[in-house]
This record gives sequence, C-alpha cells and structure tokens, in this order.
Amino acid sequence: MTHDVLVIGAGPGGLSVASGLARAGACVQVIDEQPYAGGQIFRASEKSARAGNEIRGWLGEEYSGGLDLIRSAKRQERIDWQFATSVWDIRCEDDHIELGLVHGETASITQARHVVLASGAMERPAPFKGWTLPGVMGIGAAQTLFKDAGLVPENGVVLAGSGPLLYLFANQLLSAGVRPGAILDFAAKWVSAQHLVPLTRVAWHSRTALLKGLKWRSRIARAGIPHLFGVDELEAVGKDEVQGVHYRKGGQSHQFETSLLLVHDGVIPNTHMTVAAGCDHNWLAQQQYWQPGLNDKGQTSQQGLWVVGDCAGIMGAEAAEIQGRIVARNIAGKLGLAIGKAEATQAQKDLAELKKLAALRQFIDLQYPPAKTFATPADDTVICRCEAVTAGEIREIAQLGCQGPNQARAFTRAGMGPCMGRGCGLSVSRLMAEVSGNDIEQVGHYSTRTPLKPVTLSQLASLNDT
Amino acid sequence: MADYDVAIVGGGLLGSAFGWGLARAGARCVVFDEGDNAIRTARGNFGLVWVQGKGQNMPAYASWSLRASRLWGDFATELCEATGINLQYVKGGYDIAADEQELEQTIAGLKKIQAQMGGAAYDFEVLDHKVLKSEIPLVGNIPGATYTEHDGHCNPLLLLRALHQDMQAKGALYRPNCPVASVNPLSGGSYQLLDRSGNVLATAGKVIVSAGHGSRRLNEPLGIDLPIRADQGQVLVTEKVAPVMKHASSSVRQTDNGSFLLGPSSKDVGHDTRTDLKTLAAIASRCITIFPFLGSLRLQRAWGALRVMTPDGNPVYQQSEAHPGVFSFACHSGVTLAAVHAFEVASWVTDGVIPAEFGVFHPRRFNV
Amino acid sequence: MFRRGQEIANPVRFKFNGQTITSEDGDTIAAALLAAGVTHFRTAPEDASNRGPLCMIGNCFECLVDIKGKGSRQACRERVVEGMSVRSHPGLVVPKAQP
Ligand SMILES: Cc1cc2nc3c(=O)[nH]c(=O)nc-3n(C[C@H](O)[C@H](O)[C@H](O)COP(=O)(O)OP(=O)(O)OC[C@H]3O[C@@H](n4cnc5c(N)ncnc54)[C@H](O)[C@@H]3O)c2cc1C
Ligand SMILES: Cc1cc2nc3c(=O)[nH]c(=O)nc-3n(C[C@H](O)[C@H](O)[C@H](O)COP(=O)(O)OP(=O)(O)OC[C@H]3O[C@@H](n4cnc5c(N)ncnc54)[C@H](O)[C@@H]3O)c2cc1C
Ligand code: FES
Repeated sequence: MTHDVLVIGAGPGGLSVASGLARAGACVQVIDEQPYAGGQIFRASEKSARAGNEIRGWLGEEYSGGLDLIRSAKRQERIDWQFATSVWDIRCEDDHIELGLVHGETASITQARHVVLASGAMERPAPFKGWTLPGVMGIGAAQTLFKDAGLVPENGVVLAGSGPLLYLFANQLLSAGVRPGAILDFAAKWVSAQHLVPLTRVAWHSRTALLKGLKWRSRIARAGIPHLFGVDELEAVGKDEVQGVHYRKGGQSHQFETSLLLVHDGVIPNTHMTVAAGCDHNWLAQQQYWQPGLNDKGQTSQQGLWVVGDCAGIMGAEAAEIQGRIVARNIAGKLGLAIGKAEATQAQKDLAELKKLAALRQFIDLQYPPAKTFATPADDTVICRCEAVTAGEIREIAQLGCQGPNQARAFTRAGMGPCMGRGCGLSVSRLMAEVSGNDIEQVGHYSTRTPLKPVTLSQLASLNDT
Repeated sequence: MADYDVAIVGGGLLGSAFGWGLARAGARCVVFDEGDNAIRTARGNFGLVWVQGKGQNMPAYASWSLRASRLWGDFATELCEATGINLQYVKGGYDIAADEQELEQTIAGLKKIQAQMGGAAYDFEVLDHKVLKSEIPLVGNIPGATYTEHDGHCNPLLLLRALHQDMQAKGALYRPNCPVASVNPLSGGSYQLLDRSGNVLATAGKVIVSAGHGSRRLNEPLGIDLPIRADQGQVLVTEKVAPVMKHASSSVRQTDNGSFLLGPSSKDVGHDTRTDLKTLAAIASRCITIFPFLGSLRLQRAWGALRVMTPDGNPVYQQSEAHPGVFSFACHSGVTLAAVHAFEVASWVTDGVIPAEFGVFHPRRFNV
Repeated sequence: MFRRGQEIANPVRFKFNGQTITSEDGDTIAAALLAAGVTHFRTAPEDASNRGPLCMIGNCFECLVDIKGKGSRQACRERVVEGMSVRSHPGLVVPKAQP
C-alpha cells in the first residue's frame, strides 16, 4: 500500500480532508473523475481562471472563491493527484479497502487502510409526465454546462422546482444576459408561520446567507421575470423534444412555450458507493433521502471507510470543508500522527461553526421541502428512465406482495439499466411504501453492485494480468 | 381442521413452483417468505434450462432433468397464458468451448449421459469452428461447440414473478416478510408454523421446507438431516446488444433484452455474495476469447449468488419418517427443475408419499 | 436550447453522425453537441424514444453516444478530441467482428 489514505472526490470536502491529512504528515492520494479539482460547486474553476474569461464574473463571487481552496490544497506536497480517474469498485476487507479504478482506457486496483468518500451529491430525480423528453434537464446540469463550457440557455428557458439554487441560477443567467421565460416555484412566496421559529433561530448568524437569498429574489423581480410561487404540478410536452411546459397552480392549468425546461428539487447524497460498500444507511424523513450512518468521528459502519461533505447528508460546501478538517484530524489520530496546537484550537471553532450551518440548513430544508408531485407520480409516469418502467407497474407488483425494491427490480427491470437505479431508487422505495403502508425505512433501498462507473469487459479482463 | 392443506416455507424458485403446482391442483396452500434482502438464489441465477452435465454420477438425476426439459415448453406456455408474462423460453443450447480441452471434456460428459440414458433418448451434435461460425458469425477463433435440443434458457426473474402472480390468482396465499422460525408437530398429525416470538402463523396438514439456505435451521429441530452448503457463483451482465445468438451456451447467453450474461463462477466462500475483481476478470477473459466483440462492451452489473449445493450436487427430496407430513426439498438447478416441481413433485405432497423410484434422492445416500 | 456565452477560442473539430462540429478545446462531448443544437443523443432501447442529457455529472446515462473505437460512452464525461467520430447511440449496440 503506497498511501495512508485514499480520498475519493476533489470537491470542497475532499480537498479539505486531503489538505488536513497532508499537513498532519499523512501520505494521501486524491482521486476524482473530473480532469480538475473543485467538485460540483467549483467545477472547472481552475480552467476558467486560466482562460481569465467573463464566465467567472457571471457565476459570482462564491464561485471564484473556490480557487483559494483548490490552490492551497495543490500546494501540499504530500498529496498525489489522480484526476480523470473514476472509482468503479469498492470492497471492504477486515484490514483494508480495495478500489477498482479506470484512468483513460486502463483499469487498475489500489488499496489502503483508510478511504474517505467525498463523492458529493446529485440532484434529486424528479419524475413527472414528459420528463424523458430531450430538453428537460436539471438546473445543476445546466449550471455544470455553464461552469465547464460557458454554455448558457437561450432566452425563454423555464426554471421549475424549488430551493435556493433556482434563485442563484436565475441570477447567474441574468448576469450572463439571459432572460428566463418564467420561474415556476414550488415553494410559497413567504416564510410560513410554522417556520418562523427556526428562522429567528438562524436569522442573526446566518444573516449573510439569508440576505443573499433575498437579494437574488429581488433581482429576479426587478428584471421582470415572471416568478410564480406555489406551483404544484408539471408536465413537459413535445414530440421528440420539449416544446412547452404545462403547470398547475391553485387548481388552474397554464402553459409556457420553451425548448428547455430546467427542473430542480434539491440535492440528495450520492449513496451509490456507500451502499455498494455495505455501509448502514438511515432514512431522513424530512428531506426524503438515505444517508450513510456515521459514528461521531465520521466513520461509516465499515472499518476504515469515512465520509465527508454532501455524500454524508446535504449540508453545503462550507460544511463540507469543515467536516473535511474534522475527519482529517480523526484519521490522523488513528494513524498516530501528532496534531499541532493551532489545529486543536481550530477543532473547537469547527464544531461551533458546523452547528450554525446545521441550523441554517434546517431552515432551508423546512422552507424548501421535496415537492409532493414528484414523490407521488401518476401511474403512467415513467420512473425508471433506462428501462421505461412506470409508477403504475411498481404499484401493481407491490400489490402482489413483492417485498421491496430489490424484488421489484427483479420483477420489472426498474433499476437494472445503465444508471443502475440512481434515477429511480427513491421513487421505487417510496411507491412500495405508499402501497404497503410501511415506512420507507422498513421497505429499504436497492442494493448496489459493481461497476459504480463505466468499465468495459476488456478493461476488466486486463486485471487478470496484474 | 388445519388452516391449510399445505404450508410451504420459502418463496424462492422451489417453493413458488410447489405453491403454483399445488394451487393449480386445488390444494389450499400458503407460502411463507422472508423480506427483500434475504438470500434468494432465485434472483441471482443464470436462467438455463439445462440437462448437460447433470447427473454424471447419478443417472436418475440425468433423466429427471431430461424430463423437466421436455415439460418446460408446456410449463412456460401455461404460465404465459395465465399471466400474460412471456418467460422468453428458447429451446436448444450450445456449450461453446474456449479451447480444445474444454471441447473434449464437454463431449466426454455428453457421451456419458448418452450411455446412461441408452443412446437415442439423448442426442447431441458436435459443431466444429466453421459450422459454429456459420451459425453465430461473431464467434472468435475457438475450436467449436456442442449443441443439444434438450438444453435451453429462459428469463428466471419473470419465471419467479409469473409463479408468484399466478399461484395467488389460483388461490394460494403468499406471505412475504414473514419468516418461519419453527415447525411444530401437533398431536392430530398436522403442524403449526411459528414465528420468532412463538406466534402461530398457520396450521397445515402438510409442510414443505424449501427455504434454500434457510432450510437446515428449520429441519434440525425436527430431526431432518439436510446436508447442504453454499457454492458462490458470480455473474456479469453487459449493456444491451443487437441480436447475436438465440440459443444459450452454458457460460455465455444473450437475453431477450439484448444484454449478455456471462459466468457463472463456482467458489466456496461461505454465505458471502460479494463479487471480487479477480473472479470477474477471469470470467470476462474467457468470454472475450469466445466472443471478441464483448471486449468493447460496457459491464452493466455483476453479482454473486449462492447455490444450494448437496455433497454430490444432486437434488435431495425427502419425507420425514418421524413427521410424515413434513417434506424437505433442496437442489441446485431450480430453474430447470421448476417444470417437474410444479407438475409432479407437488402431487407427491398431496398424495402424502414420495414414489419409490425417487428414493434415490433421499439423503441417506450420503451415509453409506 | 443552449448557446455559447463566449466565442470559440481554440477550435476542435469532430464528426457527429457524419457532420462536422466545431467546438472549444476541452469541452465535454455533451457540451459541444448541445452548443451545436443537438438534442437527440441516444434512443432508449425499451421504448425507442429520443433521449438527451439530464444530469451532466455522469449519473443518468441519458447522454450515451457511440464513439468510434471506444463504444458506448457518456458524452458528459468524455472530452472532444480533434478528428474523433461520434454517433448517436442506437440503444442496442451493433457488434462488429474483430479483425
Ligand atoms: C450538479 C450540481 C451542481 C451544484 N452546484 C452548486 C452551486 O453552484 N452552489 C452550491 O452552493 N452548491 C451546489 N451544489 C451542491 C454541492 O453538492 C455542494 O455545495 C458541494 O459541491 C459539496 O461538496 P462535496 O465536496 O461534498 O462534493 P462535490 O463538490 O460534489 O465533489 C464530489 C467529487 O467527487 C467526484 N466523484 C464522485 N464519484 C466519483 C467516483 N466514483 N470516482 C471518482 N470521482 C468521483 C466528483 O467528480 C466530484 O468532483 C451542486 C450540486 C450538484 C449535484
Ligand atoms: C450463480 C448461480 C447460477 C445459477 N444458474 C442456474 C441455471 O442456469 N439454471 C438452473 O436451473 N438453476 C440455476 N441456479 C440455481 C437456482 O437458482 C436455484 O436452484 C434456485 O433458485 C433455488 O431455489 P430455492 O427455492 O431452493 O432457493 P432460493 O431461491 O434461495 O429461495 C429460498 C427462499 O426461502 C426463503 N426463506 C429462507 N428461510 C426462510 C424462513 N425461515 N421462512 C420463510 N422463508 C424463508 C428465502 O427468503 C428465499 O426466498 C443457479 C444458482 C446460482 C447461485
Ligand atoms: S447527462 Fe447524465 S450521465 Fe451524462
């Protein structure tokens, strides 16, 4: 074993844990499938900095700020960077963890005693009628195109769903000179009375974040972009691609013409890898997602496997960075590395800061709950895009006594396609819970098997020679 | 009177075939099954309806498999008519050899079965490279294959679904998430099935223990010996491909939806269903030799599943002497044998006796 | 659907379904195709419907394309290379005999 610790993911969480460990004297390797550091939030930050282009300006200060984090990590000599390398297999043994990697066309196997997963989040799949049409995409997806390639939607793009990302992205578009056709907001316009208490609790120390949100919204209003609150149903229409969107609000149907419908229903942890590694998971009912169960140090139920950042539960980039520092100290402790005095004082501050962020997150979560319409798709809505399985089929087999999502996968092929159930896993569990009347916790989730990322048979076969 | 004529423990391929066969014959029956994450071989197998290689050390098993294969077409048709589910059964199967040695072994094995069965009852062809290539143009530079009409393949997941669906339509009760902890003989000759807390789940005149790897635990307190172990098999499945081969081969087959199934391996690793890269790599290598185009395909998924393996690899069918209403059945090849399990074994249970000709399958054979 | 926020500075040319597309060096194939107005990336094998990118981070596989010499690949994870030949994914791979 050539490294003390392998870190999967070079977003805020992974960069922070790797820097912390390197500073403590550990030998670390960071693996990311992207060709550069930054993760989702700071995607392609280095690339656009090199070009010195306008795009950075359009994306805003927060995005530009990520460069400092990346540069400070890159100064650490003890970090070995493996970009454009994806992790497609994970296997936990008693005293080490083995990973299968692909870089270019070459597959390899690596192992270490400690592995930190900082593989981030994904946008929550939001099934609705017509969502398989080309031209329906995630808001995060469009933002990725913006950051990575400087692509912007054409005027008239419709943004739908809920959460702060809706407002942030609309602002980024306005900066780039793009006028969205409409914002179909699933959230209510004002904070509801029942959320006022958590709001006052976070109001003061999270004032910057809250003000930022208000500023985004008022800019949308000032620009005269139709911003409709309290939308509760969506349908994309078109023959071979999106031509328009129908939506319902207050019991009335309306429509917009558009060739691009961007949808966002929050993000959820990317648990594909922790499930494959055999870790225990908990169901977070309020946010409707699975998260790996962690001990107070950040370690999963598998010895030597740690998780930081959004793949441990959605807390945002700042929290990911703090968690990274905390877990770095905990692993350094296990490796018998000394921790300096400055680090020890930082530890106290980190815990306090994390608490504040948790309170802010609680408010955001209450204000932007997952939309009901995506959780209860109509019978004819496709929920497994890969195998074209509808919600109705899942309900039908659930009525036949099919025990849970894994049997449902066997019976219907939902979750057997190329995405391996990333897209339909939550929907299938939810539908089975709906029919059986059981809690999702009891119903359970898909099991995940190799490969976690694409690998060809000849790449796999080449491992025979190693 | 007992609640049911027959209670079946285990809703895998064995239990479901019995449940369907019994319900079809008009018996009142209930099938108990575990939850979603149970060890369920029925969900991890290769989908072959296969005779080759079966019973090389027990002629009765070879003829039993052959009988199953002959009934399979009717079995699939009947299930399809009842449920609308097409089991994708295709008759006829190859055994494609990756090298000369494999081919020789396969031919020797087939000749042995043929001798056991008395010639004409079991015919097969040997195809050299040229003939095979004319049938499947994409084969690589390999020596050839054998082919027999008696082998075939199906979609085993749809088989399980159809059995579950239709046994319920025919009146059987399916009880998922309902593990049986013990079987308790009652004085009048019937039986109670109890859960972990000792609650009575059902009473039944007869009980079939067909709980796969869970059977031993239920059998032991009843004094029934069931010598089985887990033999792990790993399987790979590729992305979907336009039609290349219609008939299965024992280690490579193309499914109805286009993907290729490769494998399965065989290894003793206890009750561990995880895959390992060395095993997967070995399967991939061998299959690329057979079909070079497989190399550029994306691996879609791989899994491990646990065969129910007896010491000689042949089935165990037994009726308890102390508790004659209790039957304990276990075997590998539950897909192949599903047809005989449904059409024939189910009636052994209603008749209350295993016909003498099947005495060879009693596990007392391991004690001599 | 999309347009480039900036002019192409370092052009890279490749073929998509036989037509030449010019893109920025370092673009993902998905970005290059979307910028060129392509919406149909793959045909779903199960219902023959048109599909295009959904997530852009490698999760949904809706962006599958066929890259000559490489096979089925996610357009959002592969970068353009001068002279490469890309086709929309037919749903079922059409295998070719190896030389
Ligand atoms: C598409 C998208 C866009 C987002 N945009 C914003 C934004 O603009 N502002 C904001 O505040 N939040 C945004 N978020 C939320 C974001 O998750 C967090 O704010 C932040 O990026 C979390 O940091 P992280 O370190 O936990 O993970 P990430 O930043 O997500 O980093 C995870 C890294 O792991 C790598 N990775 C994952 N799996 C593998 C694998 N198998 N092999 C190799 N590498 C792998 C990924 O390539 C990625 O670089 C976005 C989320 C998504 C999904
Ligand atoms: C890799 C591999 C490939 C194979 N390929 C083929 C093939 O090509 N052709 C073929 O014919 N066969 C094949 N098989 C074998 C075939 O899958 C099995 O013979 C068949 O599934 C066994 O059925 P079963 O019912 O005995 O066991 P299982 O399918 O495992 O079912 C047992 C059931 O009992 C339940 N259970 C256990 N304990 C209890 C309890 N206490 N109470 C209630 N329920 C309980 C379990 O939850 C499970 O549902 C293969 C097997 C493997 C592993
Ligand atoms: S767009 Fe989702 S995987 Fe490429």
